[in-house]
Amino acid sequence: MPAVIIKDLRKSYGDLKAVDGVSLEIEEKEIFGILGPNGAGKTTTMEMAETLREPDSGEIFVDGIDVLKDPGAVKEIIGVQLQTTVFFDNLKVREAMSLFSSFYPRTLDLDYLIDLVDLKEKAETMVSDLSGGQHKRLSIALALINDPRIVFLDEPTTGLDPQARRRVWEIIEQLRGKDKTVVITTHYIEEAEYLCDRVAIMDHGKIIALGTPDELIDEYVSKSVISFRINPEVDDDVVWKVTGVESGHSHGQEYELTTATPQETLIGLFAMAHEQGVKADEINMKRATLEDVFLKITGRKIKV
Amino acid sequence: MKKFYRMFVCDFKMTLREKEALFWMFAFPILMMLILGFVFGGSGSLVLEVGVVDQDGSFISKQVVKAFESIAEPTEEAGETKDAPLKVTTGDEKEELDELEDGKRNGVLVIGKGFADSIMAGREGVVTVYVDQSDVTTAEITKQTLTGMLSEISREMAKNATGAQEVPEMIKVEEKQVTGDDFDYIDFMVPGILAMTIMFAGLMGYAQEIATYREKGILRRIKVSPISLPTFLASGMTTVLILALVQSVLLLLVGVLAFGVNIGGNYFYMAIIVLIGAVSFLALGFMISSLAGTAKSATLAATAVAMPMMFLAGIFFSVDMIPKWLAVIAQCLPLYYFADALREVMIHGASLAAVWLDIVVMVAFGIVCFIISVKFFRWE
Repeated sequence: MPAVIIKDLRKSYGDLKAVDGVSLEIEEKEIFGILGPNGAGKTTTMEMAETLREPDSGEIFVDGIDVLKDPGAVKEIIGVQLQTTVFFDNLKVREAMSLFSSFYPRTLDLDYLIDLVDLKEKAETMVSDLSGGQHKRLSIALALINDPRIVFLDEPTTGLDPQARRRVWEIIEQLRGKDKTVVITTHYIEEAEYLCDRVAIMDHGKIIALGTPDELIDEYVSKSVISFRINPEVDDDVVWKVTGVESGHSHGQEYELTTATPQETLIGLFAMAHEQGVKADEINMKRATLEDVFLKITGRKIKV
Repeated sequence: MKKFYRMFVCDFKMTLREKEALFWMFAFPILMMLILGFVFGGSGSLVLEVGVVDQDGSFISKQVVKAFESIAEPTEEAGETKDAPLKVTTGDEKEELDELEDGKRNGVLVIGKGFADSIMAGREGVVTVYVDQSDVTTAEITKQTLTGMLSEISREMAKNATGAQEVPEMIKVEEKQVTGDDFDYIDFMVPGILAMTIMFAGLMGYAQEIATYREKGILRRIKVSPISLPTFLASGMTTVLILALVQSVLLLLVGVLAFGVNIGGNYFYMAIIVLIGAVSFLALGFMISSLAGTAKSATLAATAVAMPMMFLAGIFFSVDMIPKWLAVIAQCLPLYYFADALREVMIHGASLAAVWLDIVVMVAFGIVCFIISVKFFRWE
């Protein structure tokens, strides 16, 4: 049985269709990502599954329990990290954890959890004195306190520096080995690719693509992205006519294009540069990413 | 129950860690009380106001009255005029006793009919001293002072009349007590300050707390946790209630130690009134937090409600002293009833039944606020 089943979920705020007919099945023990730009409806979808918001229509089952009919039972088996939770500032880390643990019938050992999220030295620190990264780690610890079967993490690394983000990723990675289903929302491509077994890409309240990152890249974009710089300027069209170029975008003299046949495209690129009497440098070739998938489908980048 | 208890313990801890909140809850009302007490209390230099009633109208009794009046005259000392520690008024018995009951006299001295005759017959002349027993300390001081002065006066008179050094007591003092229905300013102000303090804790404190929790997303976090909203709210309210009791004890202690407030009431009744008042102002605070958009606007709204109430509802001065139309408004304010109930029970020793109207108004007010709060409650 899938851990989470969502059927034709809808939620509007006035004229805005925040969630517009989302259907999803999240398998047990997978790390599932909902990727999309801000305002795509990721958080709203997740919060409806968490019992936090009432859908206008549709059905949600979490671990087989109907969320709309029995939200109380769902609350006990899920763990939730909200996007913007600031906890009671005047509590110490251990006190905050101890408080939340009293809400549940069964809980994990606090020391184990403090260790897991690497807050041992901060256990007696006031929550208000934690850094952004420590704060996020505490909120993950609180999401895990009842040893939940399903963990919802809403943008677990937003606002963190790369190093702090890494540490959060490591914690989430550890959950994979503990038989937990993890659902995260993110607008970071690397996060989705690094952590998630499967990804749903959302835009304007709809799921526009669903699959493993590899599947999605295979399905929507050619495998390679070539970026380079042309000096002096040339007409963009000349670049798009290079052999094998499938799509691309430019920013002044900088170009990024995708191709299924990178070798031919590179030869074509040099030939073009030679013909035009310009120089092509800062050449970089990389594998396509989910960003390219999003770009391919919507014509926009995820991050604005 | 476990959830409630743990939530409450944390809430209590968090409140105690809020240094600023503690100042407003404890230090501020005490400071306020001390300032008001010293400025308006006037118990620092005690001037006895005594009414003298001469029913005898004889030569001797007139001498006694004259003697008192001369004591009350300002004295000249090193070029400075000093007021005597005694003020004497004369009048008939009924007038003066009314004044005593209204708290405008500290004591009334009545020289009864036949006073001179008794003395001429070689017996003691009887003088009755009336004091207000509702203020025990002042009553005692008044009685002692008047008795002392009378014996001094009688000795002087006897000496002048007979020329002898050793004279027998000529005046016998009989003590009688009345119960005044008006009290010192301190007795008025202390229950008022207490009512104000509890109003602030419930109204301002709670409105701000809930609105802040909403703004910070803590209410949402609570919503996705298996703890019910009533449990969560009740734990915060319990903190306020317990602190209200602590505030009451502290303020009363200061009142008694610094100003000798007359606490004539039943402590259990007082606690009941304090709790009823605290709950109804918590409900008002909850209502404001439900109606206000942000923590900031909740604080502003709570202040806007609390401030006029504080000045109008008979906290610092009696409602009798403000214009009639304002007094009507004052009597629409819940704080008026709270302060009134506290004052009646605490100072005048009223029973709960005697302040039933106050209780009914507070409870009804609390229920209305609570219903509105629940109707407009928002998680975010």
